[in-house]
Amino acid sequence: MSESKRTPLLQARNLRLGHRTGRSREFVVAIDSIDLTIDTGEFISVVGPSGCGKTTFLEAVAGLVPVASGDLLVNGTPIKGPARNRAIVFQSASLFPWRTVEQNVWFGLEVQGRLNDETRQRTQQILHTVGLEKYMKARPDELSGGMRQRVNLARALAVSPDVLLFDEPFGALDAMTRESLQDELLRIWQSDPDGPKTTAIFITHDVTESVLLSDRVIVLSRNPGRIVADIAITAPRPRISSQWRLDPKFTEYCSEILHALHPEQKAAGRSMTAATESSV
Amino acid sequence: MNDTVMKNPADRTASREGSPPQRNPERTSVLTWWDRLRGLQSPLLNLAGIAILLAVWQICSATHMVDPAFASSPWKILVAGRKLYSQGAIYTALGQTGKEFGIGELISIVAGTIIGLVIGASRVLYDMTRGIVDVLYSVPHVLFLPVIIFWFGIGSTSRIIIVIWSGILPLVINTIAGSRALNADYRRVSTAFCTPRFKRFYKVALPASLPFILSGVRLSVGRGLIGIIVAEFFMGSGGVGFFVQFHMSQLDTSGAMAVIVTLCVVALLLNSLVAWCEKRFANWSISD
Ligand SMILES: Nc1ncnc2c1ncn2[C@@H]1O[C@H](COP(=O)(O)OP(=O)(O)O)[C@@H](O)[C@H]1O
Ligand SMILES: [Mg+2]
Repeated sequence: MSESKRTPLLQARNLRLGHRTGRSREFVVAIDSIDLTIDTGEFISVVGPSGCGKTTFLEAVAGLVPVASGDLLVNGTPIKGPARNRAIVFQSASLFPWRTVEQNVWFGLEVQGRLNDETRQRTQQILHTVGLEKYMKARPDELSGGMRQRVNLARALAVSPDVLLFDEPFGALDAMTRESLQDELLRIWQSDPDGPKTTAIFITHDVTESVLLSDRVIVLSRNPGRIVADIAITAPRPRISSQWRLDPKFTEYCSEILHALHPEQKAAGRSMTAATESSV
Repeated sequence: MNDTVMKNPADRTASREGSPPQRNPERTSVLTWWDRLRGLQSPLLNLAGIAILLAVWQICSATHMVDPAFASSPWKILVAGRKLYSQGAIYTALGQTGKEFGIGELISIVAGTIIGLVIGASRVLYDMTRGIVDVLYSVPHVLFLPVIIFWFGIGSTSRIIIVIWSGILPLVINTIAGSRALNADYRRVSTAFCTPRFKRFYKVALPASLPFILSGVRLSVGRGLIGIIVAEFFMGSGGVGFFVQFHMSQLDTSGAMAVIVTLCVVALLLNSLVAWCEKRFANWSISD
């Protein structure tokens, strides 16, 4: 969509990430020598098997995990720590139980000293967008898992970030709730007036989710994570979820990604993979 | 797994087309008189236990199974209490004790919470102070009274200091525990949203530790009361403790008991106040 004007927003060059663990503080590699360029306005998904370093990569972009070696640049400058223009939607909702839904959503604005009438109004608007207007004064423990993830999403949207980072936000939900939240995220993303200015990195292990939402899907290999495929999803936007999900090209993209994920299964026949992917 | 914990199964109907907001359903539901009676069962039995104890005491005294001059009796305490409260001295004593205890306790709570949050946030400070705090907490707090009197004299200041000395440690210890147990998720959220260090204390660590802090307040109030009463015994210059001692020195058991009953009521009220605060301000910790 932004073919005409490629402005690299995020650049990873020979990037290596990992954690120091245990008493010995031994370094364990999670992501090994990744090269990746992400353009402004792209919605990009990263899929890979569990434990391959997806969360580690996302948290490095968020500034929560330090870069071990190589470069990780945003707008040309290395990431040193968290920044106000990058917001993260966590894997578990991670809401503050003593705050109401509304107060949780404006947490970022509040601690950054940006809470005023205007941003409060914006918060209300976002709560409408994610369908929580009736629950503004509720406490997180009164909400279902799906609703908490909406709050988690709204909290990130509220700070009007340039980069939105998602860490398997729907991974722990039941299939029906997950599907309706995917549809809604697609709708929110496409209806956002400054959508093209916002960039999204979406971590998932759900292949259909990545094809539904993204402009581009990056496939990572088993630990340590390396890029094994970089697939552009060229379906035009705005996409309509119910139609796009049933499109034959949708299924094609899914099998392409699945094959990249499980190269060893290639011999086992396409029909079988096609059967499994629709149930992913 | 936490994500699935909910107060009411009705809230499980997740998505937006779901039912209108059903907050605190237990508050709006209608109770039958039978439910109410069952709810009262435990407080009623509680009162019955006290009534039986008082009755046995009264009977033993009236039949001279125990010496009434020695053991007094509920009735005699009531009479002594009426006489006590018709004179002004008790109000002066209560006022003095109340004021000194209040000041001391307030300082304990504010200072104890701040000290606890600061120590709890730093690994180095925690390791440095752990031994000191443990030792100080294990030594009976009133043992320091003579030292405090030596330093600050016999007066209001010394008594306030003993209240602080008695009350601050449980608060410090509990707040440290609360802030060290700070959920890793809360930390990540506050880091990711660029929370300045100071705001992290009072917007995240403080509310997250509130349940711990309030149970610290509960302990602190109990120990503070011990501190001030013992100090008043020791100094003999007024206050509720001195009042009890004075009555006993005149072998007026009933008079002393009347003051003790007053103190019981005050202690109970303070406890209920803290319990109310826990319910009101830290109720989320129960359901999470
Ligand atoms: N905080 C941590 N400390 C030590 N090791 C970690 C930590 N977080 C993740 N790891 C390790 O790093 C690897 C990648 O983890 P992660 O990025 O969470 O994978 P994914 O999100 O793809 O499931 C795993 O082997 C995991 O055990
Ligand atoms: Mg993960």
